[in-house]
Amino acid sequence: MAKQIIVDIDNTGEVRIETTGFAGPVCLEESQFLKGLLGHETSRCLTPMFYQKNDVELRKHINLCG
Amino acid sequence: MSHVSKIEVEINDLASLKKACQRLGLEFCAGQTTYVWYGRLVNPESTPLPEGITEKDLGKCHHAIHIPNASYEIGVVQQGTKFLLLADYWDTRLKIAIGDNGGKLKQAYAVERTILEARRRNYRVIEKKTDTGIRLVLSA
Repeated sequence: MAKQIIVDIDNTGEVRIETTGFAGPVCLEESQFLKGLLGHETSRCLTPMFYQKNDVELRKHINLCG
Repeated sequence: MSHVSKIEVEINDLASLKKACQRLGLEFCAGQTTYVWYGRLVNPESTPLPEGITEKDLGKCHHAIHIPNASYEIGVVQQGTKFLLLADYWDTRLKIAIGDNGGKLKQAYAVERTILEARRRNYRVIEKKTDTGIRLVLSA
């Protein structure tokens, strides 16, 4: 998966930064320069891929038996 | 997707603000120390001033932005490392040019600031229009 930083800036001036293709917390480091540059972070949402280690697939197990 | 962040834009780079003005067809007037507005506050109780700004500060600035065909101007006031935009939105043409609460100008600033820094760091940048604004895709 290609490593990308996607920056959506809406017509009200609100900025949303999304990182894709990064495994683990490196995505925070890779995008940190933009956050400091543009202002301050008001919210952050981590996704399952954030907890994934390089080359290790994250599997979520759901308990089906209560 | 690894994580998603929301950022409140602060203006702290004049070069990017100048480029944002060019993008929107506005004229950045470096060193202009006054800007045109109505001249007095109407209903000051219902119009809170930005932090650190009093009524007597209005009309004064460090730089200004002139909008073609608009009567009023935007004051750019330096507060430490940040720049505040002061504008009288009573002027409809001004409001249309920079959007509600300066949203379009902030958007243009954020786009220019991101492109400038991303290129400096050797990212490839693709700019696209979306239904709600502008998307920049940075690839290493």
